[in-house]
Order: sequence, then C-alpha cells, then structure tokens
Amino acid sequence: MSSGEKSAWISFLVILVAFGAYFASIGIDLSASVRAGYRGAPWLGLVGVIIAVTLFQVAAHTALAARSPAEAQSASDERERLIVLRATRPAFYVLMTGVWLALGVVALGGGVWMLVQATLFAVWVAELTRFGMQIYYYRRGLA
Amino acid sequence: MSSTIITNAIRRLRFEHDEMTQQALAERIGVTRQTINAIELGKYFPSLEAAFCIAAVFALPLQEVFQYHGPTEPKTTLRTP
Repeated sequence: MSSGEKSAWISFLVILVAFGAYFASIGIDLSASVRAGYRGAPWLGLVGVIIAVTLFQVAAHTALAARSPAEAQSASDERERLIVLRATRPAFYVLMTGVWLALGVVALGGGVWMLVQATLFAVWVAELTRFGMQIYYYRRGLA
Repeated sequence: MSSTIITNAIRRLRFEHDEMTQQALAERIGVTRQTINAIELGKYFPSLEAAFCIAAVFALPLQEVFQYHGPTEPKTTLRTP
C-alpha cells in the first residue's frame, strides 16, 4: 500500500469517526431541545472536534512518515495526482447538492445554527466521498 | 473497469534486464513502485512522457513496450487541402 493510500485511509477513518460522533450528538441534542422548546449552540463541541481531528491527523501522518521516511519525502507521482483529481470531482457534486439542501433548511425556518450544522454536514459527506473515492481508485485502478 | 486495449511487456522486459525490480524501474523514471505495479497489471495507463521514459530505460521503441489493441480504422478521416 502506497503512502498516498495510507494517508487517504487515515483521513477517511478519522473524519468518519470524529464527525460521525459529532453529528450523532447534534442529532440527540436537536431532538432533546425540540422537545424542550430550546435550541442550544454547542460551538464548543464543534471547536473540540476540529482540534481533535487536526491533532489526530498530524499524529497519524507523522507516525506514517516515521515508518517510511523515504516514501514520505518523495513527491506524489502522476498516478497519485490523477487519483486526487478524479476523486475531487464526485465530491464537488456532493458538496454542491449538500449546500443547496442546507439553504433549504433556512427556507424551512432553520436559524444560523441549523444552517451551519447542515453546511458542515454537507462538507463532511463531501470529504468522505473524496477520500472514499481516492481509496476506491487506489484499489481498483484508473484504467 | 474498461476492457484493456493497451497492454505492455514491462514485466518481461524487467526480467530480461537483469531481473530489474519494480522499485529500480520506478526510481529511474520518477514514479512510485505502486505505479509501476499498476501499469504492469493494466490498472493504470501512464502518461506519454512516462511511457517514453520506460521505453528509454529498456532502450527500445515505445511500441515494443506498449501495445495498442484498439480499432485500427480511424473513426474520422482528415481532409487534405
């Protein structure tokens, strides 16, 4: 497995687990606050997740580079660059669809907090698509 | 996966050149070992530049390294002035 594929796996799993837990907690909070007639603004939770994801990504990629320093120092080649480009295209469509749906949340009466969460959700799904497609192309090939 | 219409003889040529490793070939043309493996397995068609570089390593013309098995008749004809 190339370092590019390992990096895609790390990013995919970290983002899946961290933001998956975050959005699960948002869902629970939302249903509870709707029942109580109150919508909170857990910005602290969001900041915490972003910091945790950043730290874990840095730690995992540092460990990856320490295991195979030569591979880590070499620039990506033409195949890896093409994989990144091809994986970005479907992720862009997912992001655009998600952003439009997030705007729909505002039209349905959601506030700024709901708009932020819906947009973040769209970004999350788009990022999962991007890294998922990279893994797919690394394993299946580009031919 | 689309049907492979470009095949190559890289694996055989590596063997004939003192059993050159994929890593050695990769270092000669500036790609990763995994990319050489993907090319050999038909999972990736290299750029024209990389293909010429591979052929140059084996000191062979391009068509002796890569073979095209697509339709021989062109779909359109060029009009001459």
